[in-house]
Amino acid sequence: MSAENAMDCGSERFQDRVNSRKVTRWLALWAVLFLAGTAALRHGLVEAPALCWLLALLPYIPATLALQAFLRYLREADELQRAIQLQALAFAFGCSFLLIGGYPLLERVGAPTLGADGLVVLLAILYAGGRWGIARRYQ
Amino acid sequence: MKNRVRELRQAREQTQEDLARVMDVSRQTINAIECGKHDPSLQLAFRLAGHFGLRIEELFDGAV
Repeated sequence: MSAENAMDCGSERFQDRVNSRKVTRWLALWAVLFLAGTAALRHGLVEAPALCWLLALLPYIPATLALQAFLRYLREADELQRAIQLQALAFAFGCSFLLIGGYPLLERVGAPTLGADGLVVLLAILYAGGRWGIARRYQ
Repeated sequence: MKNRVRELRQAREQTQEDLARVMDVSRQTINAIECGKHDPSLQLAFRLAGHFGLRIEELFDGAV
């Protein structure tokens, strides 16, 4: 156990906090690049096709690093935190699967079309909500 | 799973945070184990038993 770890064993271990901050940092960079790229392409600020492709592909770099950091966080996390995270992921995946599976029927009766951006938001909300609810069970 | 972690920790006048530091887990994990809301991994169960100088079956009641 490191000295830093020994100093901090509250609701979250020092190493867990370090690892989760890395995930947050990469996600923040992804969001900035994604929003900037979207705005630039939407307003026609970039015209050269190669540059357009570069802008569209750029967010995948921080996204891949965020995924790598998240997997490392999961591997090294405190066992209760890992259990909470895995249950939240299962909850988000399961709910998304159920909702998306039945959505074509809802679309037939007039529900708005669910795009890829809608799915990302849905997954994020379900994951965050699931994590909150599951963490409460262990308090 | 029922266990004697809280009883033994308090007998040693340790806080949950003290025990969490020694076990290299979060205080929340110790609390969840004491309340029977989380069953520890085998590795952590061995470490806890070793810390209290007991066998695992003396610390945890697997029958419940």
